Amino acid sequence: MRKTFLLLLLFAAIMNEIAAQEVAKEKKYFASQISSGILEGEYNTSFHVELLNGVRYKTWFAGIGTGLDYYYYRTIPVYLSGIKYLSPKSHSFFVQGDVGMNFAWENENTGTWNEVSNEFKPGLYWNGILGFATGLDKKNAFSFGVGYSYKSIEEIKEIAVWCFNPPCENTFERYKYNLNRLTLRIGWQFNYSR
Amino acid sequence: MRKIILLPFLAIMVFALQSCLKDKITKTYSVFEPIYKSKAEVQADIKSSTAVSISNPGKIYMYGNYIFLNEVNKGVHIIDNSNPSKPIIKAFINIPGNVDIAVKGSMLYADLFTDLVVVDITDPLNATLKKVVPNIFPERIYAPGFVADTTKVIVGWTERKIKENVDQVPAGRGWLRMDAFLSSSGPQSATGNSGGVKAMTGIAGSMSRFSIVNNYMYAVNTNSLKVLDISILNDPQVQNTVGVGWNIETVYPFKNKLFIGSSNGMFIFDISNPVSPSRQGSVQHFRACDPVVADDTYAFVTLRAGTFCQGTNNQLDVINVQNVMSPQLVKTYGLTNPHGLAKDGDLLFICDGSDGLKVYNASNVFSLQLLDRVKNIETYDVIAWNNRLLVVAKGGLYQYNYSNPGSLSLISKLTVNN
Repeated sequence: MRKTFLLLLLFAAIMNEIAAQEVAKEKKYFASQISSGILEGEYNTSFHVELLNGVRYKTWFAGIGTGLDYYYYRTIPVYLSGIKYLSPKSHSFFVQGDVGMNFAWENENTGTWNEVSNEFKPGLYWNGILGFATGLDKKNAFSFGVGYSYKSIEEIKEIAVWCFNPPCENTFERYKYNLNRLTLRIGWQFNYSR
Repeated sequence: MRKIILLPFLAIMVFALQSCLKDKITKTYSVFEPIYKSKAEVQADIKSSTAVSISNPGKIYMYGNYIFLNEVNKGVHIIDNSNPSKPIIKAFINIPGNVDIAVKGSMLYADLFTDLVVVDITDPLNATLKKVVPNIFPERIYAPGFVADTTKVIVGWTERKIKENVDQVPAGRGWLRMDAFLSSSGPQSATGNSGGVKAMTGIAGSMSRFSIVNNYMYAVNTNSLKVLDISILNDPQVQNTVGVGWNIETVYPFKNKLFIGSSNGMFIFDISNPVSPSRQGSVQHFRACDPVVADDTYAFVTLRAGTFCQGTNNQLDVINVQNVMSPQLVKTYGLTNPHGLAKDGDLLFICDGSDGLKVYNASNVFSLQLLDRVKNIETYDVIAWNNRLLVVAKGGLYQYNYSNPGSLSLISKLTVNN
């Protein structure tokens, strides 16, 4: 999964280069957003960081995002994002919706004495955010958002059992995590308009 | 301005509702429930029945042209190996709870949970139960947290999936497989001598808990050594019980000694007086599972870590046993996940788990030379005899010719569910 994350970063860098050279059509341009914030849930308060790249056309934005989510288990979300700005002006509320998958980064082994291994399977990830963006200049804007964030992930633990005649056939426990969080985030948006 | 003031207010409102959000964690696991049969039913079924395919191979015993292969907790496959290139599974003897076997003459000795059963295999295709010796392995009456119906015998398990909500991932509690439970003894019978000819004893693998030396059978359980007089083959008589230590796992006979492997050491017992084994030397090691083989000078012990063996080292220990009162560790070799082993002359064969079978020249124990390695099989135990290797692996039973130890040649294989 780290490779996927690095590939996405590389993709963003390439997109930046292309955008710098491409002649943008009127009011359509590449844009990026990097954001970070807290995730507040029943388990604890954690944080996340995300990078979003895509295309903005008038008051709409669509893109692909990824990041790091430290709530409960560290995961890497990869998602499609859509943003609707409620006004074409530089200061505007926006509504954002993300949907995708999230992947565990490194197996988290609780280290109990009879746990042989554990394995994670990816799960659903989605956000619904209400925010406000305030333009600093033509290319840069500061954003602030609150909303709801969901991620799920599955963990399969192999547990050693005692038997009289080793090797023993171990047993498996499957855990399905459905994690509901509130998110409070700040971000920096920048576009590559001409 | 109103917009900017509105947003923090909105954030405070939203986070005030945070307590309404709940994480939901579900856990799915298996519960195993015993299938019981009466003692009479079980004993009536201890006989040769139609051959079945190998599913979960365990310990192995070679006797003449036959191979006896344990099907873990189920019974014994009888394999006609008169043509090693085409071994044939001839019959199966149902013995619930069986994990260990030994053969002398025309008698097969096998454990049935707590009891020892004696099966007449004069005609392996028509084997019959001769005697049940009760309570030889008393520790097999229960696993922690479970008490069986002691009036019956557990012959199998049904699996049921359970799904439940949990508050948080628990701190790791192992699920104990309930596969070691009581069988009560049945009626005892003894019907005379098996004959005047000296009965042959077969060859066991290094993972065995049984050893037959002359007219005595030595059986280890978790903390003691049982001595049974089998001079009358179909009527074993318990002669002695000797405390050994804890977590005893294997026993290997060599001349007038028994080398006993446990999870925290190797013990040497003298059986010059066969009824009263006397403890001599021992070598302690950190916690690991360890079978052992020996020759006149050295004992070779594989230590296996992981799972219930705990510990973290996987290795071969070479121990000088010339002075049995004070054996000395002389060399250690790193391995992957070693299990059983065997020795023939200067050749040392090691089952290294998923790393396959390894063949070493052990003429110089301070510098073992790897001669050959069989990959892609997950090995468990091995018997080496007369240039033929019998290897029990996860995939089945393999036979190799080791007349050229640098290049083993596969003679045959009986694969699982074949």
